[in-house]
Amino acid sequence: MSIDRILQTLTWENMLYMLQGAGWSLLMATIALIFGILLGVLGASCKLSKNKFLRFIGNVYVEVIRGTPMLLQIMYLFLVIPQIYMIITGSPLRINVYLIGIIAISINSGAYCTELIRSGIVSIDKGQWEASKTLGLNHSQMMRYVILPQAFKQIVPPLVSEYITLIKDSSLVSVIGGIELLRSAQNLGNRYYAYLITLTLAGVYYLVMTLFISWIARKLERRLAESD
Amino acid sequence: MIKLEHIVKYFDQVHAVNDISLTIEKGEVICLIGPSGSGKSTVCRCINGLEIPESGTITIDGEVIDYNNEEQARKARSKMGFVFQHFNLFPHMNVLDNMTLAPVQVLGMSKQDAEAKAIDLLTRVGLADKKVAYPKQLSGGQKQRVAIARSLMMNPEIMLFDEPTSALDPEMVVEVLEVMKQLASAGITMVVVTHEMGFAKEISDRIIFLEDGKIVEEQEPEAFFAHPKTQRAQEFLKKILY
Repeated sequence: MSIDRILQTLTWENMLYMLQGAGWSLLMATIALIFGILLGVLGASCKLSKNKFLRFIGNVYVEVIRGTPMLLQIMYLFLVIPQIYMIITGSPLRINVYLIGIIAISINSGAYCTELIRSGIVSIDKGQWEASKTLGLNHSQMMRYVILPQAFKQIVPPLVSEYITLIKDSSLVSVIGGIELLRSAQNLGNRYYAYLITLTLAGVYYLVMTLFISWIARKLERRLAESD
Repeated sequence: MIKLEHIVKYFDQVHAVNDISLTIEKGEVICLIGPSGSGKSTVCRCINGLEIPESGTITIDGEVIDYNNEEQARKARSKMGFVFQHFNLFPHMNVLDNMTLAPVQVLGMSKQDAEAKAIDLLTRVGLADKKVAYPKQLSGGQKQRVAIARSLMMNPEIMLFDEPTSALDPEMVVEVLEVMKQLASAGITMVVVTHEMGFAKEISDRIIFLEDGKIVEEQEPEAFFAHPKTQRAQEFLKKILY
């Protein structure tokens, strides 16, 4: 590998191209985490519900999503949904691949967040529920003011792990043509035949993102630990 | 007035409470005493529906309460404060927030009014300087006094105490008992599950002695401690009044 090849590959333009890929990775993971948490709150409510049917729905959601590869879920949305749409309406459906990526990763993350949030909620001491009851709080007031704030503190560390996992797993969107970080490195590698440089650089970009998130998380945990 | 009739409660096969009937008049202070496992805490918890009996009825102010019914349960609980052995303060909130949460959310009190009331009550239990402290910064006795003040925020007519001093270091017990004595003399109805015999003797109007889920003896405190009628109560008192 000559110096020339390195210089030729590491131009501003190419670095920006990969940065754009990293941007997509980060964007997809972040939006998916937000929707994943929302789905997780919903899923956890279902799984903890007194209603048998809701519990069933919650269980099916978690088991189906957790038990199949995310790659399969992404391809399913990309290939199967348009086909069904075609059968029903007779016209083709084109959905932006990044949007498909976000939807698929959100649904996937929702299943993991369901379990995280559920375990966070059930870990709260029984006395907290009883005290809320005796003070006359109704279920939603108890959840909102007493249980969830304490559960949230407990699940910050695993949620951060989930976020980091999502950033890495967003690389799966490359399979349906999304030019996220890994695909951008691969594309450049192909063009200059310089995989060592581009893939290493991709690794560095991933690490910068994940280490930054870990750092922020540590600060947040310390802040949250102050009151207990 | 609280009236328990033929209360039965099992915990996996074990008869925790076995056919207990009990009437507590308005303004009365009663102490439930007895060995561990006698069912005294369970009786106390049944009164406000933290445990739901297998059979029997609970009547409060003339109304039979079904604690499986949310509406009825909330209405009944609004008349009662409950103090736990382990305080159960909300660890993520400071003392003021612990106290004002329910009045603001449940009674619709304004935040300012609730805080003024909280400070007033904290002054009464001697903790006005702790209003912005978090529970972890308080001693056991202080936590329990805050917990009592927190339940008083809801203007209860009845206060239920489930072994309020059992989790405290010995030197913290008195400060909590003092607050409870204040309440008793203020004429609030009180049901106290306790192992503090001296306290029970001093403040209660009636002692209920339980064993194996049954009421064994029911007497005025002077008489109970001087001449327990049943042999079981005699043995119990001999063992604990060292």
